[in-house]
Amino acid sequence: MGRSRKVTGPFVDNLGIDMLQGGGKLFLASGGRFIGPGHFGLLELGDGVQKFSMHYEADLDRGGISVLDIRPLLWRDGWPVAGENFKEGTYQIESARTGTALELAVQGTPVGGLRGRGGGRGAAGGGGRGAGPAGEPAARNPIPAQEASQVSAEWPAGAIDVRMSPYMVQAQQKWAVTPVANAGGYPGSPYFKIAIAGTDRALTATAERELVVLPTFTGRPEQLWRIEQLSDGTYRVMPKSIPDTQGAWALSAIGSSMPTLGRFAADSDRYRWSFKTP
Amino acid sequence: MSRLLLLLAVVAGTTGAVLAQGPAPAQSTAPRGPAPSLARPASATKVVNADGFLQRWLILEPIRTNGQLTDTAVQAAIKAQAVPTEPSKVPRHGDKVAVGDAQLAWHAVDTIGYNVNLYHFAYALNKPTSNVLFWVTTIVNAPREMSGARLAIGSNAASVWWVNGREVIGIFNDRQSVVDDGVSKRLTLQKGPNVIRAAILNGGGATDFCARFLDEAGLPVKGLTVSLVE
Repeated sequence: MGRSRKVTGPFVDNLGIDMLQGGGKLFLASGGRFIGPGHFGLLELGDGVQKFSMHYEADLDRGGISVLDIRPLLWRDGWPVAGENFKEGTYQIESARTGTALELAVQGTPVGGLRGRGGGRGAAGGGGRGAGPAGEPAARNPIPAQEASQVSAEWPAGAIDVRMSPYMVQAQQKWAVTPVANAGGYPGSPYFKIAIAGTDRALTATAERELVVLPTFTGRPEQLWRIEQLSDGTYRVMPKSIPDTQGAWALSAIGSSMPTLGRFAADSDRYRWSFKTP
Repeated sequence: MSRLLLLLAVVAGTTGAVLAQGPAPAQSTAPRGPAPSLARPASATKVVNADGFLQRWLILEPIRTNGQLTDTAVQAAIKAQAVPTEPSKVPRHGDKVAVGDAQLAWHAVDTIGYNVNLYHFAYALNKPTSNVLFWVTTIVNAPREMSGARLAIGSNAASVWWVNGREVIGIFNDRQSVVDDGVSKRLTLQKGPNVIRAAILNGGGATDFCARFLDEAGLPVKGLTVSLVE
């Protein structure tokens, strides 16, 4: 890459080196099982969301044929950067507005159980902090991650609200995000299911443009989520559609502790979310 | 005076108001004088302030609790200490409620700040400020039906809120009072009176709350008035 304000140049790279003098930076190289990206095409999706199309010369998983891909287009210091399409996984979903995490609105249980340092008995949630065999220094024992199966018996069976709280590595704060087959998609990606890890409790948009976690995933449009990287690397999260509602609505943080759906504004941290690996 | 005694003297001097609430010494139950941030309402209605905060409330004298502030503990305390909830039964200043062996009174107050200082309220009445539950209520008059509004509150510490009899917010655990900490889902304020009710639970130390309504854009709803049952 190099750039110039005049088509006749000079074109300089990110260090100001003229491309005729050895300057220039590769925008995107081969990666994974894909070889030879090229044929950049800008997709301006509005609301500050940009993507680019390209062809890989060869997809090694498909006999080396040339394939199309669409990826987020990010910007750093005025230079384009190839973003990554969202990948399935288990995540902490953190609000850029508050720095707190999206969670099922249930009472949390400390990871490792209630205070049991020094070998005390643990409660639900994992066996007691630092609990270990007799005689073994308890503080050296790793404390296993908290799984939903350890604590979900205390959760209500039906619909549960969502809220935001400081992330405490607890089961009600960990979301499994998985692509949904045969449900369509958007440029570069399929729709995703967002559910509490280890459960089928699925994040759902309501007709009132609010959020709830339902006990089961049915694949309805209000349970299908479009997750797109924004220019700063955070993500916009939108339901495929909302019953009886038009327009684009995105996951939004309102106040300190409440998520809702609002009309996306590219310049507001309310609509920006980070997906962090627990 | 040893360094330790000197330190204790300094602490007592700077936090005397807090230490005065300690459980140890037996003390008079007589009222201590007016709360510095609260006053008896002197008018029939009060317009919300420039930032939309509701500054007129009825507060029930505090009810003792076990001081636990988790989700389940708060809900259990509220269930155990419930007061009449029907919007048609909004209490009046001076009404009394039987709680256990005690008769607790409702007090009408205007606050000079955006928040209502429950510590001031209870301290002035010589009532406990720690490990307590405060019931509060007020009536918000809307000039027209307002859809897409949200109740936005902050509280020290946990609190649960109702609008016209429907639970709309619950925030839990020990926390500071932060403006718009808890925000309800969208709701409709009906034209005319709307009854707001809350239970605020405190563990120890300072305790207060603030409340206002936000519009669809997240801006304070102005033009509301607050009144209490005469």
